[in-house]
Amino acid sequence: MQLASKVFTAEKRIRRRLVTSSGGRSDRPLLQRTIYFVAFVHLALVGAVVFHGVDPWANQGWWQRPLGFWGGINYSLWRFGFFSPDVGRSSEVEFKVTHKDGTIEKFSTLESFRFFIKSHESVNRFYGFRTQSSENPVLQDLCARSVVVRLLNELGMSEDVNSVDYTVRTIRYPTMEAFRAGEGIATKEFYSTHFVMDQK
Amino acid sequence: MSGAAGETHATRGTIQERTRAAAIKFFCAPQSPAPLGVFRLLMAGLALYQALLWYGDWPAFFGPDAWVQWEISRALGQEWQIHLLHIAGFLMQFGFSADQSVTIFYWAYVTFLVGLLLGWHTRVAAFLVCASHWVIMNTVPMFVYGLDIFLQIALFYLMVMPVAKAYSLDLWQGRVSPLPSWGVTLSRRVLQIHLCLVYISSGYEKVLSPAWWSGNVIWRSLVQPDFRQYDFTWLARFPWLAMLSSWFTMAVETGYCVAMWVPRLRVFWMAGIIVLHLGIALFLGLGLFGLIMILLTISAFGYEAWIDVKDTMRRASVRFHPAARV
Repeated sequence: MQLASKVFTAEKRIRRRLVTSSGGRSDRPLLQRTIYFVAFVHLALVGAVVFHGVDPWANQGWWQRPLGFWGGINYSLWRFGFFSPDVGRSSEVEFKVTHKDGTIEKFSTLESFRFFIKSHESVNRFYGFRTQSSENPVLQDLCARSVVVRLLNELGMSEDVNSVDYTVRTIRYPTMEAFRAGEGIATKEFYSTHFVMDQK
Repeated sequence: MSGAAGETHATRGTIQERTRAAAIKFFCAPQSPAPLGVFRLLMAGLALYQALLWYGDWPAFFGPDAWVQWEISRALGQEWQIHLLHIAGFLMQFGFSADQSVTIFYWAYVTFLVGLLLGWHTRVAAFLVCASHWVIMNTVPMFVYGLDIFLQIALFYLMVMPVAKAYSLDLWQGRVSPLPSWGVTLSRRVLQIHLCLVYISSGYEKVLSPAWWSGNVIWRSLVQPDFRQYDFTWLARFPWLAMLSSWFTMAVETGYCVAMWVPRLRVFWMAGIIVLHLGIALFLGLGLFGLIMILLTISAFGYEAWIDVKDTMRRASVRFHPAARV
């Protein structure tokens, strides 16, 4: 008897679900309206961000937190102007590893990332890393230390190393016109630091 | 005079009614859930492929001593964001080390993705996948790029949209109805409009930039070490080619939001978008990014494009075989 009652309740639940999801008209109009309202607000926010409509107010007022939360969860409040207004500066990271026996080994991200990572897809991730880490000197220091530690662990040479020089160079390509006129690629040392391994 | 005013009033009324009816039809008329099923299969498949590609580099990106250590990446995020550090802290109560937690998290993510791909308890699987991917993004904020952003948007939609109503185990086991519904229509419209906004934003930002009009962005992207796949320095001798590619990109992106709603243009525009993203994948090395953009367009407008193609083929067959008209 109890089982029959359970089956009957389950059947009613499934039937109700089938009915509510089958037609164009819901038997819960308030829920339907709320869903439509949320969808329109969501799209309106996406549109407002895309067209810089909320720029003057985005970082002030009570809506700052809810907006940040909504954007932080679904990443839809984003500007999608990839590669615009221009493609950013490229950069090279060079590691000069000095071993205890005095030999020097150099690794440059310009030659290959193979010493760094195993999958080609991961290479694309370092563009953002180099751009973001260079925005703040403190962050640049922290990232340099972190990356050097990882590199030494990855290459299994932490026991054998005396010091590591970490250098970042920016690379700027000229315009096509300037390149034809003979202008070269501008390389400039942007950041450099020296790590000495603890000898204890 | 009063007659004319009355007529204008009546016409306005009719226009308002027509607009309202068209809007209701556009957003509410029940549609087949098949395209949403395809959307789920494509996005879950892509995310699974990405996760498998990531396998070899997983500890290097996500471990406690990753390229960017947890302490740094945690400090970069918002306080309310969940980081792998928190997951490891939770799992530590059960005796797992931080490194083991990172591996457990990886396999849990892959398992959730398989659940989503198969459509098994889809809503729960989609929630877990979306939440896990969100944790991934919070853990490596400095390594996030376009692919991750679009994947997170797609996974969020998979979580809230009725994507189990087609090609899923939930359907096969009778947990969901396969019937068309207003929820399917609204979901498809949200996805379509969102993509239109993405492309118009992308095109609009480019149109405002002189470097895009001159073709120099294309040139710099192709030759600079971050994206260089082949030697394109010769392009400087043929600036018109870079300019043409630039204008093609701006036209395809800016026109997307109009052309994708016009049946006669849709298939051609979709082909243009596919060519654009194949070019990005092939010449800039952004393979998965190119792929997700193609798959998103197919998910959003592929069904309509397929109907356009079928209609054109039917018309062509009638033209070539007049007997078929009878």
